[in-house]
Amino acid sequence: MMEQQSALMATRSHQTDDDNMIPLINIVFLLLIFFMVAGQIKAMPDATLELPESALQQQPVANPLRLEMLADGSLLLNSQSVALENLAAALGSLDYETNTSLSLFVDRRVTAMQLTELLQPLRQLELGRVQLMTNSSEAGQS
Amino acid sequence: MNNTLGLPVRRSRKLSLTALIDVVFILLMFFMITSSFSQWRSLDLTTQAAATAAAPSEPAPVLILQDSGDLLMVKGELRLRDTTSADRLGPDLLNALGSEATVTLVAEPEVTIDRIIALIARLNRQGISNVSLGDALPEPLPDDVWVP
Repeated sequence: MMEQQSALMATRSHQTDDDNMIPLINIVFLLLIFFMVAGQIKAMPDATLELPESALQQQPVANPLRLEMLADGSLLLNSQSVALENLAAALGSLDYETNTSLSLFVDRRVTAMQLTELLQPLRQLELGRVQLMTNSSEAGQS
Repeated sequence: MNNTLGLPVRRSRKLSLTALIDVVFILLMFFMITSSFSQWRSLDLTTQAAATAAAPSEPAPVLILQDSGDLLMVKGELRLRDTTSADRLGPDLLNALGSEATVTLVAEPEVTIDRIIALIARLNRQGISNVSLGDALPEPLPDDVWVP
């Protein structure tokens, strides 16, 4: 009788260990599903780069080329550091087709003059289109 | 415990929840770190080839965004200064622009991208959707230009 009781107790306590974990797993599964469904996995620009806010409507498309200009004026082409003078050569060595489009991530503190100096060499190349990326400021609005 | 074939019956072992939650936690960390919730919008910058191909017969009005926030407009002989630097455009300027198909926007050299983008979005909201961004002015304009 005593043996039976102790055996019963043992299985009970073993079960309650797992039972305590089930709500935890529930929550973790819910979080996992939330991040899988709601989040998007996309290549982000450099962490120091702050995109300008805008209320523009146009949705960007995924472009094969990514050019970033940080607040200090340094350039990153597909996450590789590049100097402004070498930009055309670096783009040429990437072996893209003509009419390839380019996403331009420019820090909000960059001045018009810096942007003009960046756009002038880009105009010499046969790029399809240049998309200037901005953050949507419509969060919370309909 | 042997069946008719003499093989041992495989009893399914109970899966340990600790191992399961380990994997789920790793997946959760992965998705939390890689996923982003920022929404991007884009603005097409006209390349030189496209700009010359679509050159209109009469020159488009030019807007000049000054570092002070004032907006100057040049349209043929017409010169206009808009000091409504708030979140909207002045009515005079909007009347003068009318329903122009294209507007060229030029900024003084020290104006930040933030403000240029904000102005383009404001123009778009007022129905002027075709704004092309021109080169920045080489130098800021003198303070007393076109002051009414």
